[in-house]
Amino acid sequence: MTDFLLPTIVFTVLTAFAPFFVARLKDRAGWILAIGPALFLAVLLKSAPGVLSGGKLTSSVSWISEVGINFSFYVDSFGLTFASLVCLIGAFIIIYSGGYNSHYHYTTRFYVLMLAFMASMVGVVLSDNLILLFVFWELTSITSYLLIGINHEEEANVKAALQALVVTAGGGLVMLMGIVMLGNIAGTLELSELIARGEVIRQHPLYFWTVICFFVGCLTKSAQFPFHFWLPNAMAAPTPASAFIHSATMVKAGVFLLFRLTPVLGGTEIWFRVLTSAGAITMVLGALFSLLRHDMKQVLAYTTISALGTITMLIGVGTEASIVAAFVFMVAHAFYKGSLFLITGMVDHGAGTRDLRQMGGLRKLMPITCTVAFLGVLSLGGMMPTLSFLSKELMLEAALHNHAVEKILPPAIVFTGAAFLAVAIRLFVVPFFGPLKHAEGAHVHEAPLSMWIGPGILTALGVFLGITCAGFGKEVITPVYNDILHGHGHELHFHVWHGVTKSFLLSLTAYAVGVALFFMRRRIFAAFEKVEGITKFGPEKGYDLFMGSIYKVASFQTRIIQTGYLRHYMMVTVLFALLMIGFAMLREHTPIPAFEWEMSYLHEYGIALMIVGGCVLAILANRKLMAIVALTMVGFGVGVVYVYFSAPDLAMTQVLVETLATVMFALVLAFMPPFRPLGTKRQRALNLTVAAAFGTLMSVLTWISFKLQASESISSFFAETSYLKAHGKNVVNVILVDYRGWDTFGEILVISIASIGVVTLLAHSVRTKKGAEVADG
Amino acid sequence: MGELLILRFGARILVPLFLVYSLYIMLRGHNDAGGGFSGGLIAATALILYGLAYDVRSMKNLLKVHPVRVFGFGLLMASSAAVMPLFVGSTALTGMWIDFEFLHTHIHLGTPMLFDLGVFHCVVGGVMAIIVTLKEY
Repeated sequence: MTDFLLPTIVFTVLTAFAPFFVARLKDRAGWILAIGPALFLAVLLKSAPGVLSGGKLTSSVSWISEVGINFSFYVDSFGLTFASLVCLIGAFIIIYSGGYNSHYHYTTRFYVLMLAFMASMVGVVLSDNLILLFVFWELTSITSYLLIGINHEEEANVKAALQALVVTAGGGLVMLMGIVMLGNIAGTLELSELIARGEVIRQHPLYFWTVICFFVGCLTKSAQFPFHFWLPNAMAAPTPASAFIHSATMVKAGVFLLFRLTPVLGGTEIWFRVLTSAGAITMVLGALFSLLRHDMKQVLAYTTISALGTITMLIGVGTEASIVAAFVFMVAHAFYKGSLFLITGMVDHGAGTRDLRQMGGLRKLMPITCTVAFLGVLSLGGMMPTLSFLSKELMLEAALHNHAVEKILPPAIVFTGAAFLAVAIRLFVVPFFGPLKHAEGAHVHEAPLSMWIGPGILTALGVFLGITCAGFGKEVITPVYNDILHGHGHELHFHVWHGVTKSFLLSLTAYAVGVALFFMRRRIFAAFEKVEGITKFGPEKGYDLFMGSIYKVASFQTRIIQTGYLRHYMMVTVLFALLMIGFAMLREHTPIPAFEWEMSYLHEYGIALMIVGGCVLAILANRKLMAIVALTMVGFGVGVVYVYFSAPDLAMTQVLVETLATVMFALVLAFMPPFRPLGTKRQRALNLTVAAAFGTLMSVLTWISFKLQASESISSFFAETSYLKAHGKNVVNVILVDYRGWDTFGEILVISIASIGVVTLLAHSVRTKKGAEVADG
Repeated sequence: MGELLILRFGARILVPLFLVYSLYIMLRGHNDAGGGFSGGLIAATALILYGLAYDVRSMKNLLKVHPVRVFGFGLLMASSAAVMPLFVGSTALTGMWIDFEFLHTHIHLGTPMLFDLGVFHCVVGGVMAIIVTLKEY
C-alpha cells in the first residue's frame, strides 16, 4: 500500500495548485492536472498482477477503534478494477475539460471539484471500513451537488443540484443506520471481515431493517425507481461532470456496494424481490424514456438509468451467471457511456445545440467526432464484437437459466436492448447524416485533440476488450468474480461467438425491434405527446410534495418561534434551563449542603461589593456607556474572584475578554439604537422574577459543586503528567492544546463558523440596504 | 483630529507594544499563564484600539489581508498540527517535539505550539471579521 503514498500526495498537491495551473496554462491546464489520476492509475496497474492473482493489499490506521471505526483500505481485484476505471476515465475527462471549458465560467472551481470527487470515488471503492466508505460516499454526493449547481446563476440548476443532494445524501443517511445495525449484528465494520459472517447476519432478527436501509442508500445513489428522477435533472451539470459523475462513476457506487454486499446480505427472498423488481422496472422505464427525449444528454441519462437498472436487477437475481453478466456490463457501460456524454459535449461545442431535432449532417465538418461516435454507439447498441454485446449475451443466458425469472426478464431485456439500439442509431444517424443543420450562428468545427482523445481511446477499448474477451475474462473477470462472491477456483470462459444459441436469437430479435423502433420514432413521439401529462404524476411529484411540506413547516415554526428580539430568545433559553435543571433537581432530590457564611476578610467583601454593585448599577443605568461600564465592572470582579481562587489563566482570560468586549462596545457605541426601556412594568417584573430565579439556581449549583466532590479530582492526573508527557508546565494550557486538543479545535472551528455567519448575514443586509438606496435614489 | 490627539498618540505607542506582548503571552503559554486564546484576545484588543483611534478602514489596512483569511489560516495551522502526527503513526493531535541549538540557545519546538498559533489566528481573525462587517453595516 505504500506505493499509493506518492500518487496520493501528487494528486493532492496538483489539486491544491489547480488555480495556479488554470491561471497560467488556461485550456492546457487539464493535461497537467490529469497527471494525478494517471499516476494513481499507473500504481494501480503496477499492483494489478499481484492483486488479480489473489493477493490483497490492506492498510489500516486506527481512527476511533473503540467503536470499530478505522481508516482502513482494502484492495482486491474488484476494488482495483473499479478504481482503475475511475482513474482512467477521470484522467481523460480532466484532459477533455480543458477543451470544453474554454468558454465557460468557474473553470478553477470545476477542476478542483472534479478532482475532489475523483478522490472520494476512489475512496468509496477502496474503503474497507463501512463508516469510512460512508464518509467518502457522502463526499461524492456533496461534490456532485456542487458540480450540478456550478452555474448557480440559473435557478433550475440550483434546484436540480439540491434535489440530487437531498435524494442521494438522504439515502446515504438512511444507509448509515443500516451500517450501524450491521456493525452491531456482526461485531465488525470491516467489509473484508463481514464477508465471512454472512450466515450470522442473514439469520439475525434485525436483518430485514438492515437490508432495507442499505437498499435505500444504494437505490437512491444509483438512481433506481422510484428515486430515479434526480438523475435526468442532474444533467444541468457541465457535460464532462455528467459524463464522469452521473454516468461512469458515482451512480455506480450504489451497485458497487450491492456487489460488495452480495455475500454479506444477498441470497435471501427480500434481496431477490426488491432488487430484481426495482431493477427491472428501472431498466424498462429508463429504456422507454430514452426513446422519447430529444436532448442528447437527456437521452443518455435515461439510458444510464436503464443500464443501472439492468445491473441492479442482475445483482438481485444473484446467480453466479447473473453476477458475472452484471460485472461485465458495468465495465462495458463505463467505457462507452461516459464517452457518449463526452461526444455530446463535442457536438454541443461544434454545432451549438444538443437538441437532436436541430442538428444534422455534421459528418463532413466533424469527421473525428463522427468516427468516435460510431465506436461509442456500436457499444451502446450492443453490436458484435463489443464487450457490451458479450454482456448482453451473458445476461440473457443468466435470465433464461433461472426458473424464477425466465418468463419475465428475457422479454424485458430484449425490449431494453431494442430501445438501446434504436437510441444508438438515432444518436449516430441524426446528428451526422442528412442535410446540414445546426444552431443559428454556430461556427461548426471539429473538436480539438484534448477532447477527442479520451472518448476515442475509451470507446476503442470497449471494442477491443470485446474482441479479446477470452483473455480479459481469464485475467480480470475470473478473479473479480471470485472476489465478489468470496469463492475460489472458478474459472470462467468467454467467447465472442457462442454459436446460434437461444440468447443469440433473442439478440437478433432485439436488433430487429430496435431498427423498427428507430424508423417508427416520429410516430412514437406523436403518440407520446398525447399522454405526456401522465409523467407529471411520477415519483418526482412525491419529492416536490415532501420538500414543499418541509418549507411549510419551517416557515410556520419560524413565524411562531423566531420573533427576532434578542430579549425573547434570552428569556426562552433561561426559562428552559431553569425548568429543566430545576425539574431534574426536584426529581432526584439533590441534597443542598447547608449554607455557611465563609467570608471573613475585608477584601472578600470588597470583591463582592464590586460585583453586586456592578449588577445593580447595570440595572439602574439610563445611558449606554454607564450600562457597559457597569457590566465590565461585574466581569472584572469575577476575574478577581478567579485570582483569589488561584486560577491565573482563567482570571487572565476573563479580564482580557471583558476588556475586548468593552473596547468593542466603545467602537460600535455610536451605531447602536437609543437606550431606553422597552417593556411595560409587567414585563419588567417578569424579567426580574426569571432573572432572580435563574441567578438563585446558578448560585445553588455553584455552592453544591463547591461543597461536594463526588469522585477524586482529575486535576491531579493532569498536574502529574503535564510536564512529563506534554512538555508543559502550565497545566491549563497543556489541557487546552494537548489533552483536550479536540475540544479546543472544535471551539476555534465554532468561532470561525460564527464569524463567517456574522460576516455573511451582515454583508447580505449591507447589500440589500445599498440596493434599496440605489432604488430610492 | 484635535479631540482624538491623545488617543491617537497613545495608540501609536500602545498598539505595537500590545502586539508584541500578545506574542509573548502566546509563546509563554505552555509554561506560564497565557496561551493562544489570551494572546489572540490581546492582539484583537490592540487592533480594535487602533480602529477606535483612527478608523476601521485603517485597522483593516493594518491587517493587510481580509480577516476571514486570518482565521482560515489559523484553522489551517491548527489542523496541520492535528494531522501531522498521523504521518508518523501516532493518533491525531499527539504532541510532536523537536529540540535543537540555535545561536547558543536551546530551542524546544512542538506541534502544540503550532496549534496554539492557530488558535491565536482564529481569535484575531474571528473578532476582526465581526468588527469589520459590523462597521460596514
